[in-house]
Amino acid sequence: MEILIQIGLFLLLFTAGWWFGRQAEQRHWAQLLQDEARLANIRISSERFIHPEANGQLVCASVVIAQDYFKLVWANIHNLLGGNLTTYETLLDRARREAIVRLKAKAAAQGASQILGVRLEMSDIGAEQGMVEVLAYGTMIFAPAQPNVWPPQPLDAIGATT
Amino acid sequence: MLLSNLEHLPNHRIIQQLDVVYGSTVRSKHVGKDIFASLKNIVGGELTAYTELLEESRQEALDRMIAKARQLGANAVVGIRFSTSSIAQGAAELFVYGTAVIAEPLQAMQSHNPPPLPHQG
Repeated sequence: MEILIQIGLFLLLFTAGWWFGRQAEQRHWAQLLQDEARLANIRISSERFIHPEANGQLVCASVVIAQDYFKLVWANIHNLLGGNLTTYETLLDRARREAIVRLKAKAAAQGASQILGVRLEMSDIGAEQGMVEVLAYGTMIFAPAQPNVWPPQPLDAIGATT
Repeated sequence: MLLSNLEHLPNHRIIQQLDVVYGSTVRSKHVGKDIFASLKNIVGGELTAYTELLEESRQEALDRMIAKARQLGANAVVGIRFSTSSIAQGAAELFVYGTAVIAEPLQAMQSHNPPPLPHQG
């Protein structure tokens, strides 16, 4: 009897994870596309040696994101067989893009138009449960605002000197 | 305090390099938040409580670093790096470090041309 309850609970969590997790992921992707297009005027670069002619300040943004139960179980099964763990790839992709979007939003809110020296760092806070934190940081530059065009233009097209 | 994670401070000249300064916080997770997080783990998605917790702690580490830089008489910190390490089950150390410097603003340059380098001509 007990084992039946355990199997029932597992199946319930498994389906709930699959259904809600999939919805949440699709909503997140749609939101990300929107935000990325909205913030396209904030140029970012991981270059550290650009010398802009405007003042700058440190800016950082982070996000903690968790995997759903279905994907967690699936990843564990997949782990035995080896190969690309696609379920984790999408989790990390979402986390990094979200962190970048937040970084850009913070810079935009303070009137900056470029972010230089962008670094992405992932920290493991309970990775065994499929939970990751991504931190994005860089130096925002208070240069004149750029036109909002998609895809983003290279930095040297907007007057930054190296 | 001016902060930058580049090798230099935008639109400033570094006059004097002082010392490496750092700040850290060790933060453990909140029991209530932990229970909520494990529920959220079933459906996936962002754990807002954790995001806020880590952001607060990181800000505190930054503040501690800034306090140290101030003691040295610096007005800027350059080359800032963040690092996170989990030191025990449910506890994380948030560490930030950089070089404290004294910098002065460059004269506002109106042209987009870079200034001529001294060794040229």
